Amino acid sequence: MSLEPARAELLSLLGPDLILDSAGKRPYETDGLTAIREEPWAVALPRNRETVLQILDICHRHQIPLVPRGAGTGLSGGARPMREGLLLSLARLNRILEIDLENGVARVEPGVRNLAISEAVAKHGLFYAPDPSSQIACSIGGNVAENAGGVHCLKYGLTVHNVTGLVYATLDGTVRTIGGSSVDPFGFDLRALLCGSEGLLGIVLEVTVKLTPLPASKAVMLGAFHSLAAAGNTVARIISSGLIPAGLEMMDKRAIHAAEDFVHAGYPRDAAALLLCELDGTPEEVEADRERVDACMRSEGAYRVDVATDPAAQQRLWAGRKAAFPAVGRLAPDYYCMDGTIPRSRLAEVLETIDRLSGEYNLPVANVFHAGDGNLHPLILYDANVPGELERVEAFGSRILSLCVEVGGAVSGEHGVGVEKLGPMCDQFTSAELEQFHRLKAAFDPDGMMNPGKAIPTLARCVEAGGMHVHSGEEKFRHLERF
Amino acid sequence: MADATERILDQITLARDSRTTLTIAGHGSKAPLLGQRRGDGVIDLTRHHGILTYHPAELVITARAGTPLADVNAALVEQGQCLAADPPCYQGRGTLGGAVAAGISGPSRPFRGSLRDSVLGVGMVNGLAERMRFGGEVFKNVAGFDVARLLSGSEGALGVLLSVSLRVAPVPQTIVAFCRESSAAEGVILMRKWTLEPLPLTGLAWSQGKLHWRLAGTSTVVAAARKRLGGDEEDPSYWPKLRDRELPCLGSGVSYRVVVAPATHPDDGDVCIDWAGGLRWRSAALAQGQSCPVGQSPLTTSPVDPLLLRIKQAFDPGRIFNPELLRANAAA
Repeated sequence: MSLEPARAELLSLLGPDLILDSAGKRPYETDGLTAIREEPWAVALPRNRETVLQILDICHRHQIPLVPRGAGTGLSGGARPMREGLLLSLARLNRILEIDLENGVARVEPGVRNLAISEAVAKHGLFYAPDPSSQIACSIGGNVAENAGGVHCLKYGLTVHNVTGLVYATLDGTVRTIGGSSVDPFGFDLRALLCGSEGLLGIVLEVTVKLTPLPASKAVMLGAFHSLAAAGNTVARIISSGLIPAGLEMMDKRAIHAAEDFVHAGYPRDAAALLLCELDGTPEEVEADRERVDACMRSEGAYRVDVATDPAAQQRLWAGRKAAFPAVGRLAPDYYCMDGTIPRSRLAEVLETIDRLSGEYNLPVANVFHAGDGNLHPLILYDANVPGELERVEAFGSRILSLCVEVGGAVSGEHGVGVEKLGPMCDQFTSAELEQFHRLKAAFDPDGMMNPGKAIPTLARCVEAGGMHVHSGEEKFRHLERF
Repeated sequence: MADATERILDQITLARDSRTTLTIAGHGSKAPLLGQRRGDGVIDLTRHHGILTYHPAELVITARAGTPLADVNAALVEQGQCLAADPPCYQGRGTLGGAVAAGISGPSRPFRGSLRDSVLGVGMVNGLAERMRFGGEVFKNVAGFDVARLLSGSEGALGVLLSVSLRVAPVPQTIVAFCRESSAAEGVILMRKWTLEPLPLTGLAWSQGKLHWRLAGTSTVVAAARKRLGGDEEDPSYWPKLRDRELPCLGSGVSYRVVVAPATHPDDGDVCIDWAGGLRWRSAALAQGQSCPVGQSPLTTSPVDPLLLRIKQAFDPGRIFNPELLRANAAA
């Protein structure tokens, strides 16, 4: 690695678009996982594809590690910079290149904001379906890197289901195209591999996304329950009845109260759990589905069911859910947002276990999550200024993720692994599987220069973590003995 | 139910150590489309079958790779569910593993997603005889690279599938098929127009002077769309025949399958048009899109991108599996 000559070359290429001073670099020290910070060696803000390729060439020749970054809204530290690496922001590659109505796709640069795509095609009665909660800010390139989901992915799929083409570059400067406006290419489908690859394999230069017709009609329903189990059973009953709602979200008592105090959405404060269910389709379809969901909710013991059919009322019902994270954030100086998935059938049991662990660690938890697809977001409340508290939070969090793996789920549903979940990855994968991941990365990036140290833990790290568990006299899934 | 995992692992270990090659075989139902594989030995997946878990409320089924698709479909239908991508099941002989490895989706692809889309997890063995699992049984899972979906369409070049978990979908309440007279050019224009409307379509195809479409959903929704689109109701068996290449027009006159931007203007070479315009069965190759001769795997054409060779190397360094695929210097 030769930083000095690389700096000179980058500076002559980028001029003021290369940031080297500490003050200028400060906004890039962290992504959405603000607990983890690092000052990057330098930040590059190229404005077009050609410049990106020239940057790759410089980094390749001088063996400078590269950390790609979109809008920096990621929640797992995937864009955490490196002290001796270049932070490559793709935010300025933000042009919508083509809206191809005939083929029902849009071709966009990676820095285009998620919501900007839907806004650009709304007048044609279309939208881009994946809607991560950060959609106002997050970029499509980052969505590809993380395989972003969102409230509506239960029905409309994740990023991987809505990307038809990718143009990407590997560090050696080779630009490749996979797919395009046709729905599927023949042969190897590297689109799925790149979705969720967290910048370890290539730099996304262009994304072709599928556009979906806007539904003609919508309804939002709220069901209030006296127990989490009843709400969980309702979710299973709705899905088993053959209905796939556009969204199906659950909140527990602490989250309900926090949201109610914050935005006054009209949620029932006496409920132990509430479900929000969005239905969409033709007016006839929504009407029929409403009756079915109403029946499912009531038969599992909902004591109150509200329906919002006009946009204002719908927005009000969603307001509490959408503001849930900041609302919970008001309850404590800090909160730590977890992101695990579990089979829906284990919902009640897992929530009960989290509740017990919450008592054990003496750390309150609020639960807000995508119930329809079993994606939990327990929010652990804490105060980072209390010595030892962050460590306790991390220990609690990793037990929650181990529990997710044990019941057949995954350590990350939609936020990615980044640097945050490297430890829990050792729980989910064997050493042979992790080595397979590393060999796959090496096929794209033989020198290990693309976002090194993220997403896939080294075997040494897992062995070390395992050693720590043994040292404290506990098994890998040590929490299980307790229940 | 039959578990051949140990035998499969033994075969791969032996091939690895003796530097011989293996063909991964089911019932051979896709050979007419993708060609024959000829390794030194054969891993017979038809003796590795059975549904392992099926939880209708979770919308997930997991089965061994050699399970006939027909068995999977029968189990799903009993619970009012189905595979949304409706993969071809040639004379009922296709296996689940074969379908996923080939990565071929049926006519509902543009509307209900691809077979790859529905893959949630796989159990597999790589060329080092290592047994591994990727993905799982949950819909949202971003832990590790998406190897499960990478294997869909890789035709066994990276490893042997032992089991597959798929997301399943509810069977629509009503399914009705329609057609009307149309030229190919008019047909494609209508296909593109209708695809951008919120209609309950699960198929849009053209063959032999007719545009065909299929509506699926609740009876009220289907009735409303039917009124809007008109057309003559027809026997819905057009769709499985199209899917399984059993339509008379899909015989010897078809030499290529082509994936293409769906609005691409058709010409005389287009014998049959599926996927709302995106898949063409043709008498001649096409400059646009990706043309693949019928009877030949897209993984046997050259030149091969060196990246794909390195991915092959990462999974199967000894080139044990399906050796005709991904050859650096394959004959064109």
